[in-house]
Amino acid sequence: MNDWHREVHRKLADSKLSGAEREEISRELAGFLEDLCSESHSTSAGESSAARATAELHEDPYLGAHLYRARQENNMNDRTKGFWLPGLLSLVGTVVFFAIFETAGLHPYRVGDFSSSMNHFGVTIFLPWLCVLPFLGAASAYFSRRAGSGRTLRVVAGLLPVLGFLTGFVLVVPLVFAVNGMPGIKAIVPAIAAGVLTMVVIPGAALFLGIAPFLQASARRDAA
Amino acid sequence: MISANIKRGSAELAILSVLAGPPLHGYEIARRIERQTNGTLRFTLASLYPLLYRMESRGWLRAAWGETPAGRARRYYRLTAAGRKKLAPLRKEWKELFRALARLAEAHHA
Repeated sequence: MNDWHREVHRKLADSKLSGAEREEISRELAGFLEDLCSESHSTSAGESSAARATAELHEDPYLGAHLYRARQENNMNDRTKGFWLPGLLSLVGTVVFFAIFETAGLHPYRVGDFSSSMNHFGVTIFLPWLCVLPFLGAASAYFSRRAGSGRTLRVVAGLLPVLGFLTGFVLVVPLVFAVNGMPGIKAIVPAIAAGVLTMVVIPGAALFLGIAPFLQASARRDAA
Repeated sequence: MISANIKRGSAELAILSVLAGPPLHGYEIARRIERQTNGTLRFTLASLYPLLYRMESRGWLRAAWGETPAGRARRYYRLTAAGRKKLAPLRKEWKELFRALARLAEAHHA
């Protein structure tokens, strides 16, 4: 009795498939060969059943590469459709609407007068922009869900713009301090707090308002 | 020589057609196609699985591990809504192609 699982595993050893993928494919292909063997056996084919199965396994010398390419297409499509495209939609939409409202002269206003207590740093509210963000978050989460992404990816794709802003803060703030000299801690904390609230927390909350409804209904993959 | 696109298109139609019914694992798909086409179309392991994975990647099929009546673990494929949607126009396209080829052949004979 052949150990088809081991033989398929060996056949795919040179492929670029990951360990987990190779294992799953080996299990699946071994099942095919087992079925082929048992059917050939029962129909008493002239050719030995094991020889027929072996011939099928070795028919394509580039089987591992072909399976890898088919799987890669899978990974790339899933990631692109389920994350990058919805994330890009959210990111581009957020930036474009911000620019449109700025160009149209819809100026932001500050809430809370922190100018005396927080060294002129206030939280800025871009109201028209914030009103658009839930729709962008919703569109992003909808497309991500339609592509079969799980809840985490839907949230991350929808929040991609504010994650980008946050990364910008983390990179830019130390750079500014390095160039301009380190101000006192009393100036740093409110500056960072105001910036994070303005560009990360509040827009993030607005985006999440739109994302939330699309976390309830189950996705294609959730159901699987 | 049949071009790779025509070959792939016919193979996709065959797989989608047999999966319009209940879920099947790879070997069942290959045998059912062979039986239903009286052996004209035959899939081997090497020709079947790259295609199945590619169709799965396009969202036409969904696969899940299950057990055969004999208790063996097999990966069962079934059509998704996108696969069903793809099947109808594909059938139409192929019918039209065969009708056109038949007309061409008859015209050549006449």
